[in-house]
Amino acid sequence: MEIFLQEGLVLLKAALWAVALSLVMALVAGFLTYLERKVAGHMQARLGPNRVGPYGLLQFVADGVKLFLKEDLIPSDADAPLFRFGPYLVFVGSFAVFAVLPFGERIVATDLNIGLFYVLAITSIETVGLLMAGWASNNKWALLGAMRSAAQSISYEIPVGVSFLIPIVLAGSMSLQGIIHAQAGGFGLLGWNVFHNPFSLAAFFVGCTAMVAEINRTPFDLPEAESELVAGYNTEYSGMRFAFFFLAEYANIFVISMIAAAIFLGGWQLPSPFKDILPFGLVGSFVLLAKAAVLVFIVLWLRWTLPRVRVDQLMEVCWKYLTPMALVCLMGTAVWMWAFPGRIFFGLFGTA
Amino acid sequence: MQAVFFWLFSALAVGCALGVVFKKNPVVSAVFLMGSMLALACLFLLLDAHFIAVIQVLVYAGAVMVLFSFIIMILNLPQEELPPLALGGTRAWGVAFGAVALLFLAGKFFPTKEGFMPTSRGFGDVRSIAVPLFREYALAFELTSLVLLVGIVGAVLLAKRKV
Repeated sequence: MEIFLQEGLVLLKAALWAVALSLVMALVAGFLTYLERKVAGHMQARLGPNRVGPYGLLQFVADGVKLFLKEDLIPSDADAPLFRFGPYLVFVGSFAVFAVLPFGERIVATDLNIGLFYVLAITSIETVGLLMAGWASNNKWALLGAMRSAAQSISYEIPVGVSFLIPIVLAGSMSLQGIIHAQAGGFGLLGWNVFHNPFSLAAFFVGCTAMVAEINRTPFDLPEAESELVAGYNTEYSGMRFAFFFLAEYANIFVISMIAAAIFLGGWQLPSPFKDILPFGLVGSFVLLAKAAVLVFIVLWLRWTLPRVRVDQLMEVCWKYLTPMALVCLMGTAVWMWAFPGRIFFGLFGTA
Repeated sequence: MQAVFFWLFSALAVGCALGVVFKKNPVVSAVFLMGSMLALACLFLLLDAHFIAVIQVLVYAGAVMVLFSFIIMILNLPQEELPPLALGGTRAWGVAFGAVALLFLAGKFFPTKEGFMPTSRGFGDVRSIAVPLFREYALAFELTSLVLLVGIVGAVLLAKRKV
């Protein structure tokens, strides 16, 4: 009886986290669609959405309801089971990452000891979903988009993985919380992994570029490429299934920003006097979310600034530039740790 | 609870594996193969082998399956048409080999009187895999990577257009 109660509690806790995280995901992704249109609007000297709610803030709710009520179309020549299944796989791959996202010092659903590696693995499932959706649509644009997406994410997984290794090497841990804990000190700023040594600074930029490519954002949005492929892998989708793709896509922007902020930009680290103003380390959570928000804005900014790269350029950037650079950064960091054990770059000059 | 999950994921793994064999559409087979791999990863998780579970998802479900599907879609294979049943001999051989393999596995894996060995603490984490890999078996590990490198170069050489 005792055991059943305990296991029931474990399951209940897991279920509650799942519900809470799916709400967070839906809200964040919804808000990001609004934000993207707003940023796009202002960059193109227009206002963006401003009709629904104050400043148009409820636009995403209206869009959601609209998609919910739309007819669910499945092309007659499509492979119906796979066509239905594809969007869910994409959604699951994106949602599962939220389980290890550190929202604060004490706010995390589960702190896996292989956290960062888990993120890499579970997001690779999304590719399978995209491929499935593209193929099942029985549409040449969708298939081309899916093919591009598969090639792109398999290639860019490598620079992403290698640049993830640098915080892992520095912290001696794969757990996201462990990596953040290792970035303490230096007034909550100089301890960040970006400032650890010149190689980790370079690795931050390499990693972020590769992550933007991994989630198929402009300038690497070849899988969708509106001007060439109609809408890429989701050409044939409508209604809720389309909404699932969209949700995953925008949630991914948030996920990569949170991860970059956690593993390179110090996560929720703060100088100790500020840490305890609010309970549960909430100040740290706000700091982390603020860092993530800045990165999210940069991702949106890139989309409305840079033109799309060509397919051959895409592969060239990955294999000829990002991958070797990430490897050099990894070796450099290892050499740094051997040459100056326990010292950060700024610590070499002063007494810090 | 572990037992429940074990049977759930085992059934899923076996069911998906059957799906791979019996479905006639190669793409659907590939999807079932991925389901089987994912269920296996969940079984590894139940064994506390987190690292292996993640590798299973990353390498097999993520990379290998994507390449499989990629190739299948590029070749655009038609639905497999079963050849007329002229393969009685082949089938008998298949059943015989399958039975031998099953007996072998059963002998190897069915619990003895003492039951299974309990896992030690820290079992299946990164360290417990990395240390033997890079100390005891470093030579074998590096040689394996060399073999893979040769394979990659060979594949490029074969596929390259003559200049």
